[in-house]
Amino acid sequence: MSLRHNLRVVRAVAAADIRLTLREPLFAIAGVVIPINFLLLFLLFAISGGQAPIAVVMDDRGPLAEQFVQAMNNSQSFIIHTASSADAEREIRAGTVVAIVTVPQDFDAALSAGTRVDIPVEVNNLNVDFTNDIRRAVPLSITSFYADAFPDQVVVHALESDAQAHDTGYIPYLAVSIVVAGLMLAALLQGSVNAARDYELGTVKELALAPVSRLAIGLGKILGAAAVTATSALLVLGVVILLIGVHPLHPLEVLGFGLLMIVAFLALGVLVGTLVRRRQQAIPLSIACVLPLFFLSGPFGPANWLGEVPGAIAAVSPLTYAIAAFQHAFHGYQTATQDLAVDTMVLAGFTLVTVTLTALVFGRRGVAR
Amino acid sequence: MGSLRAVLAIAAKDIVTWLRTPSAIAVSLLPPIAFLLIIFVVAGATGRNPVAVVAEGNGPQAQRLVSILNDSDAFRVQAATPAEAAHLLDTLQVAAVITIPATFDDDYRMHRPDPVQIRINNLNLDFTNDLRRSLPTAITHFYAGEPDNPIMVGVAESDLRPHDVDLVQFELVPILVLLLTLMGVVNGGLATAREFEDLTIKALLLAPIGRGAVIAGKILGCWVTTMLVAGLVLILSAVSGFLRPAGWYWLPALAVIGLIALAAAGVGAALGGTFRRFAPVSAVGINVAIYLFFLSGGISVAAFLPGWIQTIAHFTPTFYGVDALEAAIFYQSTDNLGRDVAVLALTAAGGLVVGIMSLRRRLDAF
Repeated sequence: MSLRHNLRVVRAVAAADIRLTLREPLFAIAGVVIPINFLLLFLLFAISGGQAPIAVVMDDRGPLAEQFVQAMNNSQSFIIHTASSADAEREIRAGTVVAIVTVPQDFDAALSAGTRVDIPVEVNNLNVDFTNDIRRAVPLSITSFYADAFPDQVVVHALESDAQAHDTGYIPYLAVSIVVAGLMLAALLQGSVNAARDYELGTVKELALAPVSRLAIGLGKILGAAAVTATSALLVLGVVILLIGVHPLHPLEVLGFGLLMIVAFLALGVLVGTLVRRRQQAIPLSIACVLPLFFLSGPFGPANWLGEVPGAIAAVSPLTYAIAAFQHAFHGYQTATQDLAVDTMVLAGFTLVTVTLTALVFGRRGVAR
Repeated sequence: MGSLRAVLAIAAKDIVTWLRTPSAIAVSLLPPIAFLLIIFVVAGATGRNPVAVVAEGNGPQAQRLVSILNDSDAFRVQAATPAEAAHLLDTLQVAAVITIPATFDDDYRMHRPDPVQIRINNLNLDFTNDLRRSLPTAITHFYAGEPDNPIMVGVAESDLRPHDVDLVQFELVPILVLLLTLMGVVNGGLATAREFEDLTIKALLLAPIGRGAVIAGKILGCWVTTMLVAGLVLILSAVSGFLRPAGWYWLPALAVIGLIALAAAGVGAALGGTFRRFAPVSAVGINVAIYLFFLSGGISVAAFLPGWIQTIAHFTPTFYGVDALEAAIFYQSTDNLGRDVAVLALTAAGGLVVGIMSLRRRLDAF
């Protein structure tokens, strides 16, 4: 067969798959939008941040009391608003604040006289995690306040320097990790659904019996699925770049790693679809695979910082390397113990393995039947 | 009597079908299991950042600070020389390097400014702010341990709840609610869509039973399946001690679970009747359930979310389900129980109406 003929086969198979996808508009839309959903959902998690909303009841408005509240503001632990005692109590019971800090009436007078004063702190101790955050943050504010107000008494203080030129917000950081998960989800979903659909409709038989190269068929199917996946990827990237405002420092890396990921996970999707042969099973499997893999692959920061077990789990997940590569592409720094060359090699190797495995399984189990 | 038998038969058929369909079981159980796994892994590691400590000073005060850093629940400390520490930081094996200077004790004794240096790999503000808070916290402990502590301000803490709740336990409640909504919405939807996709709906419509019996059977089947799984989860949780309502608080807990399951079953039937295909039902159903999970608190606490999301959360029925279950299971409290049950009862009624209307319209048109 001539190259031209094979290219026509590739184009025809790809076009047929795209048309079939578009014949189910609801699923086509859902398939494209699901990664965006993923992005929005996890940003919901990120924007909660680590700062506790608290009410401060100012029974003393002296300069030291004001300085103490300022120290609490600067502690990066609280979102503060002042309230009357009754309002604060109502808010904590309604769950809109998680603690009430009351600056007592004799605060300034006691400190000026050098006598001890206790600050009442009422905590909505819903769970031990954020309750302990508050238990730590209030004494921290007190020490910071003392270091400012009485520098000759509290002389030990932290002097910070940073490894990176500027801080990266949590949302810009997490958004990049979520792009990777979104790409994986879109590719897995599209690959598995397209493959499973061929078995459900019986079109896999026709393809197998057609007098054309199986490689051309395979390429056509990947191209068809890739077209829909690319639409989804562009949408996710558009949201991250245009709406969230995270611009890639190395756009070519985004393109290269993005294509590598799409091919790897499309192949994995086709493998899943070939094995389960039903869209009813392929869809939940694809969605369910992404969630744990994403969380265990260091999306929030280097996985080894979370401990040895999370670090070891992340080291065997291909998504870890993809996240590290994308963080480098967007922010220009490494977020894993390995460097970019290792990320590239692992991703390329993973792509090769998934494509080969899929071709083997498709050839043996898929076309054979 | 005949109608009741038909309803029970359809419900029993759906329950058996669910048990024999691995994909339906996977749709329902995999996302909650995934979140559970994540919570267990992350909870064990929360908040403890790896740091290298370079102790250039070796006086008693410097050693005391090193000891406080070692014992801190904010750090995993690795002692290092300056060169080792720089290498550890460069290769991302630690998140920060804390250096206690050689003059630490002298400066402390002479009441001179006595800085403890911290060099942070400020990759993102989450880790960075943790570290920015943690060293001053250690300094606070340092002063608190002094016999002549110059800090004269103390904290008098009082707690709103009788006891603290462990993070894993706390997160189990939203995950249970996720399980209920997934079971109801997705399984209910798939059970209905299956009848249309496999065309078994024809057999049901040709049978000498009312359409109401078909609809009731579908919703009952989904509700019973959901309750069976919830019951199993509750028994396992109670035996392991993770979720154990005390005394009569079992009653509101079960009532709330029943209402959430009923609402979800109604919405599931509506989804199945509307889409009639597996693919859109599972895609839309999973998304709806996960959105409800996040908006009801999910892996966060609603109070930490921005105001506008809290406002949306207050219009999310599962928010009230989580609130009622937490009150019953953890705090043995009836605060807001009336409000929560009323919202859930209304939601269940609404879900049933939507489900019945959607299915009735679809059956009439078939």
